[in-house]
Formats: sequence, C-alpha cells, structure tokens
Amino acid sequence: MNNRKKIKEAAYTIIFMVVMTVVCVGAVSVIYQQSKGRIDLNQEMFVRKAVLQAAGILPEKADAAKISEVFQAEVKEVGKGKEKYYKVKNGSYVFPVTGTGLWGKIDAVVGLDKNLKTIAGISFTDNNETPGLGARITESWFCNQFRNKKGPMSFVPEGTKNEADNEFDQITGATITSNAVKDMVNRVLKDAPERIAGGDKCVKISPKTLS
Amino acid sequence: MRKDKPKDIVMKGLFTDNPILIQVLGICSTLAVTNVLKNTVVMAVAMICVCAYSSFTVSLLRKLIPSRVRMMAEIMIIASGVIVVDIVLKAHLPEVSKQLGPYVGLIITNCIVMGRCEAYALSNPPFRACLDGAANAGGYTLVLIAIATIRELLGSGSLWGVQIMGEWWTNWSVMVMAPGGFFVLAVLLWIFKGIFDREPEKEAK
Repeated sequence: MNNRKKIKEAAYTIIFMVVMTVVCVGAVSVIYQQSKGRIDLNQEMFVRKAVLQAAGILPEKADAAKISEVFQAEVKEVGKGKEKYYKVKNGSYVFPVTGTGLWGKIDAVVGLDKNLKTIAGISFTDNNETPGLGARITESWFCNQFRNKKGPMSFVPEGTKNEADNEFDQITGATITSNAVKDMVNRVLKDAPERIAGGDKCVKISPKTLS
Repeated sequence: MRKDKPKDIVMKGLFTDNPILIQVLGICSTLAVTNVLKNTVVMAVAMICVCAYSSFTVSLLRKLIPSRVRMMAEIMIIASGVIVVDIVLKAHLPEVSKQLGPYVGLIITNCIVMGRCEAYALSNPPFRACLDGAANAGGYTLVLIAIATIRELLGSGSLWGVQIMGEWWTNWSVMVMAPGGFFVLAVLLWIFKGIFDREPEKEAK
C-alpha cells in the first residue's frame, strides 16, 4: 500500500515535470519564431548601417527604410564568408575585420578609398569590451578620427586631438582595446589589395559558371 | 505572516527588507551592470518583469508543484521568462540588447528571483506574491540606480551618456571597472544598515 503511494507520487512528479517542460519550451519557441524575422532584420540592419558609416555615406537621421534604400542603391556585396567585402558606388571599399579585444573578439567594418590607402571610416558591429572604457570605441569621436588618415596607424594619448596622418587618439584605461583596433585597421590596410584581387576573381568567374 | 498588507509588502521589498542591502542577495549582477546608467535601468526593468512574473506563476502553481522538484519547476518558470525578455529586447531594443550582452540571460541565476519564489511565492496567493516579487525587484532597482549614478558620474563624468562634468574633470577609471562596484556597494551597505537595521529593534520594544 505504502509502495503504491510512493509510485503514484513519483509518477506525478515525473508527469508534472514533463508537462511543465513541454509547456515552457513550447511557449518560448512560439515567441522566438514570432520574433525571429525581426531579430534577423535588426542584425542585418546593424551591419548595413555600419557599412554605410564606414564608407562615409550614412545619411543623417537614417531610419531602417532609408538605410535599406541607400544600401541597395550604393553598395554591392562581393564574395562570401570570411572573404566578403563591400564595393561602394563611389569607388570605395568596405572590409569586415575581426580583432582580439580584452574580453573577446571585436568585429568592425573599415572603409577604404579607391586607392586603398586612405581610410574612409570605421564602424564597430560587435564587441565585448568594458562598458565605459573599451566599449567607448563605438563612440562617434573615436570612429570619426580615422577619416582621411593613411596609416600604418599608431596611437597617441586620449585628448591629443592630433591631425597627423598616421596617428589616432587611444582610449585612456583601455590600452589593450586600442591596440586591437590599431591592429585591425593596419591589417585591413595591408590586406586590402589582396582581398580585392581575390574578390574580383570571384566576380569574374561567377557569371561564366552561371551560364 | 498570512495577511500581509500590500503596503507592508512594498515597504519591505523596497526598504526595510531590501534584497541587496539587507538580504545581501544578487550581488554579482549588482557589480556587473552598474557602470553605465542606461544599461542598469534596462536591466532593472527586465528584472522587475521577470521577478513579478515568476513569483506570480510559482504562486499560481504552488499547490500543484511537488515539493521534491520545486526548485526545478521554479527555474523552469524563471528561465522561460528571462528568455522571453531577452527575445523581446533583441527584437525591439537591439542596441541595448547588444550592450547588455550576456547579463540578461544571467537574470536566471539571480538569487533574488529564486529567493522570492522560495521564501514567499510558495506559501502565498498569486496577487501578493506578484506584488512581493515586484517590490523586491524594485528594491534591487533603487540600489542599482543609486550605484550606477555614482559610478557613471565619477567614472565617466556623464549620466545616461550625457556629459555632466566639465573639461576639468578627470575620470576615475577605477569606478567603471569591477573594484568601483565593490567600493560603492560597500559604502551604501554601511549607510543603509546604519539607518534601517535598527528599526525592527525599536518596534520590538
């Protein structure tokens, strides 16, 4: 008799947990599926906005629709995966690049002019740096100072506001992050001709393989 | 205990039984998300939603949940709530969600949520449990905002991202890093304990 009660209790416990799991997981899945489109769209929009910013053609007070419109009119994606870069109508190029920050990876897009020597702009798409210190790389004063500089870059203390062609103001208290940004920009400057050469091959080949 | 007045529940959660300063729970997230005010507020709002929701749901199911697996059931309820909050943030406030990163997910392990479910929701009706959850999360919010205000002002010279201090101000970098959180929290704890921890003694007399 006592045994039976125990079994009953155990069965109830198991059934309760199974039902509970199904209900919770079900509810979360439904909500996730409902929002998935929006989340993906946000992510896509984030990258597009960054690309336009790096190319220096982001319209002021751009909303989602405007960004899509400008992106589609001005920018062409070339290549896939790690080799991917963006070709802009005004002749400049935008390269995605990943660097190693203090806490994790930093993702950015760096825009270069036609000659591949002058920086058109930089924009950060993802980072895990310390808020208030390293994460300040996303602030506009930091990104804007790269515009029209030539590199290879090195940094000077924050607040110098220098005009030199190959220097940028670092962030005080975030030397490792600043170093990572320096390496990322310099890597893009160094690798850009090669990446373009590789990418152009893809473009030339693809129409043939299609036909 | 059986018939707490709503006003008492709120006062307890916010001040006299404040989860951070008196119960000393949820310290880990207090240190982690308080260096910039904006992140803190979003985190706190998410926390209020999750805490109220999970206390309410646990209380609704309190007679059905077998006591042996009550913690599993509680975690399940809390985790679903947190994931929903995370999804909503990603879909509607993508910028903030990016900045908060893993911290929203960490609400699941915040001991205040679980603590209120265990201590209150399991033995009280849904409405009062919900109020208790919200009040405790509210107490958490007050402390978090106080800490974040001090840390952002001293550490970055700004509030809500707006520069407050003039050019002469030198940022205290230590304030935005983890040790700053310890210092500010310790000072607040000290002051708060001095004020509120004496009251129950007086009442007892």
